[in-house]
Amino acid sequence: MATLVAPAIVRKKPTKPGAHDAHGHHELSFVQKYIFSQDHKRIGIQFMFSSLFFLLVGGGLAMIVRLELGWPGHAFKFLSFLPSTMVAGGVILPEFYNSAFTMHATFMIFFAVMPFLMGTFANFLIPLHIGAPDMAFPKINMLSFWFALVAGIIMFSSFFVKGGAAGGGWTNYPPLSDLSELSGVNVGQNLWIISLLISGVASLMGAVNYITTVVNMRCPGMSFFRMPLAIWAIFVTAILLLLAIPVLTSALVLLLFDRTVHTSFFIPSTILVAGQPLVGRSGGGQVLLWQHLFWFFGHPEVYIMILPAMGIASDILATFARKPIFGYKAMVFSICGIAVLGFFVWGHHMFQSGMNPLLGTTFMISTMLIAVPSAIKTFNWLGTLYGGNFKFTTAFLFAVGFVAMFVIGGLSGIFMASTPVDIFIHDTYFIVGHIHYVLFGGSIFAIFAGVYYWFPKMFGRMLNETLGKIHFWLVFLTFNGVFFPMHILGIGGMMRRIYDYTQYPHLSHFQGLNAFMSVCAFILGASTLLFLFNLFWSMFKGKPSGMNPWHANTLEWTLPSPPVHGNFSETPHVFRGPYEYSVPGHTEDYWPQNEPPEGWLERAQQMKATATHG
Amino acid sequence: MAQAVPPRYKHWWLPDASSSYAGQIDDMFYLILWITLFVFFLVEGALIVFLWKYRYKNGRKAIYTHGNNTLEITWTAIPAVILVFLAVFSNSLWSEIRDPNKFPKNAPAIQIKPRQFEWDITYPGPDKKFGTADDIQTINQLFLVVNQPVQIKLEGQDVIHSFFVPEFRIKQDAVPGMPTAVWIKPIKEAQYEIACAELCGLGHYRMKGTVSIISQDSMDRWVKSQAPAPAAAPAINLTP
Amino acid sequence: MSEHIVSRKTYFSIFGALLALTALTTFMAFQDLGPFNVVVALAIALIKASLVVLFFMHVKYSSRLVKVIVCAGLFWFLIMISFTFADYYTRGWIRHPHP
Repeated sequence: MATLVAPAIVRKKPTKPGAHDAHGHHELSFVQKYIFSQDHKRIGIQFMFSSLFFLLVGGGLAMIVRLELGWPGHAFKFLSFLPSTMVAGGVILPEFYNSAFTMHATFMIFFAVMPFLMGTFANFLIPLHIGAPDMAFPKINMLSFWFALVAGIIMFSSFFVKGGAAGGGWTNYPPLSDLSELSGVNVGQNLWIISLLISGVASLMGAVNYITTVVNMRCPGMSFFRMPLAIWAIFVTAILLLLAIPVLTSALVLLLFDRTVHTSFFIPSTILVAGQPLVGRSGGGQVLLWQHLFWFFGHPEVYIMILPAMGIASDILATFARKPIFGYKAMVFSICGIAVLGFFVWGHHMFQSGMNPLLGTTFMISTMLIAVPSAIKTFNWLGTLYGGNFKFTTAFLFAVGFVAMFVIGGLSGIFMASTPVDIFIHDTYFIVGHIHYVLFGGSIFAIFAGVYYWFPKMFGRMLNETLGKIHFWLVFLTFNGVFFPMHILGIGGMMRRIYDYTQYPHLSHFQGLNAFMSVCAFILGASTLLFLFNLFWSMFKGKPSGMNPWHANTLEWTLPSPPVHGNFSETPHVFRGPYEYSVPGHTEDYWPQNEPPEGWLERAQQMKATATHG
Repeated sequence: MAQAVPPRYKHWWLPDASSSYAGQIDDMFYLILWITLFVFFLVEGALIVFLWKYRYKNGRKAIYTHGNNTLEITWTAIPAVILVFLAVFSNSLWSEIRDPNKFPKNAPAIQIKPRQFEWDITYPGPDKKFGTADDIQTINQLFLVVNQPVQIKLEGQDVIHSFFVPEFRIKQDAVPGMPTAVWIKPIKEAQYEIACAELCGLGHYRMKGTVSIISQDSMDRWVKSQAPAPAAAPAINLTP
Repeated sequence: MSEHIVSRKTYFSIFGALLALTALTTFMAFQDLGPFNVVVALAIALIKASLVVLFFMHVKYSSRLVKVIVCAGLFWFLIMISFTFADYYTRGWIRHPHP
């Protein structure tokens, strides 16, 4: 067995003011430790449980959507327990269907995937990976979680108000989202806005914290180009959040003003409601303004959800391939390239919106260009896998699944980028398939990979690998069973967000395919329960993991599992990059970042001796 | 007049291509499809081969490499060239369909003002001018003349709707307060469905209309039968 | 890095300036300057925002790095504004046949 190098380092660095002293070493009460915790690891785990809860909520709503799409208009007796405003005699009502897919997307994007990546993993990993005792602002970190949770609860509560939850799609284009007369949703829509405003504050607090921590609190030797790619990705994503979220916030405030104090930011003068002009509004607003503002946030948002996933997958691939990342700098630059280009492509959501077609050309070119860094990353992952020595752990399987699925999601994006093809497939199921390949096949696969990989560090126990592999294969097969046929539906011309496609003769032959997809979706949903069972069971009964079960290089694996409050007993010193696996001449096939090179300790001790005696 | 009903497809693929540019859009689609399929099999194939070939073997050490600049430049340049090529190629078709300066000259116009949840359609009538007494109004029934380019002027009344006829491969949002337009040249006599492709509320799913592509003669007869009807004349039903 | 201490007097005078500018905005809202209505309103808003950023947010006393970051944020803002307005202001140029 390998001799693990203890994190003991000779050179001691004075702890950063404010970062560590505040905690002290006194015994923390239960509330301080588990509820209002300021420990980044604890907050990360809190984010994990809240995200898992909202993942289940979003997943449950997806099941409702799939029930309706598989058998449109069918009476499902077992749904009769739902209130009559949602389900009548077992038939899912169109208003509930609209709320269901709207809230499915909202929960998944803002309360499951985003907090999982930028709450759980960002919190848990940043200080551990860069050798810091905690976040730069532990209190803000704590607040960030509680804001996110409150936002999620507000969003959830909107199901129970009169008129139901928002039903305008997660993009909530006005005027539909603006005038309650047109949508039939009143309070629910306001709650949607308020919830996202609060969750935006949470994201901003997180982002500020992550950026500050990464810039200021890296341990000695941890240069930017020695950071693991996960941290690079999270760092860049935090910058994206900081730039994108305020735009969403301002758009939401404008919409809230329109809805509550009857301004007309998004209401044109010519608007008619049921054939009658609106009274009490000045009009003169612009409908497309919302789309510009929303997508200026919304497209970077997509990268906010995929960049950390890319980073996590990169780390896991390198660890289990026992190889350095192929083209580390190319990976870093492509992350930065995606982040910058991500702000120049938002118009590709608006090709058919009536935006000036010339601007469509501009946005098509930038959209095509942003595919290049994604391609670079994919090829570098292949390069990383080439010539490896793979251990097929569940984490590795999910990371490989991430690459395989992200390729499909990336390639299907090219169809939409091409403006003429987009005329046909825009707002069809093709795009629903595309986003799910990116956000489920991409982000959620990477999230699963990350959970399987870092669970031992979080709880000191291993997840059950057999259950994990069953989980992987169930997810992998049924995921493709649900989402691949969506491309076919889109090519057949099936519109998205449609309650009953059998109304249309040209779509009615898709019922069988839709039913098959729904069955796959139910198995996919059920597989999550298996995952949750594994999670909770292993938390208490799993095999103890020890310090470094995967023989990985990064700093967190030099700490006990779980690491104590304050992480490192002494500030670590980093000597090399995070991916030094299978180094020729080195006895082990891994080489922890903080393991001193030969003779370094002696030299350091000598220097110390001369310093004290001289 | 030929009795047409909207087609019911058996195949899981593209619907009929029934406008002048539908074939071109399909060609573009197939071009991208072939390129992406090639890349797909290349990448996923390599992935599977690697997974098999480099599975764990006791005692073997992985190759130690940090990358290769030549390879990086190659796989940056090749996708970039292909993608820029696709963008340039797409753009000529895009501007042909969308550029207002390239709209067919002298094509007659039809005004569609969708509302929740119907398509309010106005034909200019024999005098070819809107806003006159001989305007013809229909709801959910659009008549087009085969091989005759026509301009569809769109403006939403209440929320954003999207005019979508899959067989024409055309889709354009109808935005309140902001007129937009598309042109269509149908190439065969048939009947298709107009679908709303932008979520517009509770009845979004049933907001459908029909478009009948008929001969010039039938169209003339229909226009004559409507004029000089009052503005709110109900549409006649061509399909019994 | 030592924090620059801003005197109370500065804060109060900036606060006074902001209030005065708000009063000016209100006053200008009742004057019809034709196309310059928006220009004047935005100019006042810009001055107010700059005061807040420079004094209340301490950018005036901050390191060059902070100033660069603020400018970077403005640059990002410009991207949004320029592309959005590229759509807005060119729509009028689109002339479909059949007005």
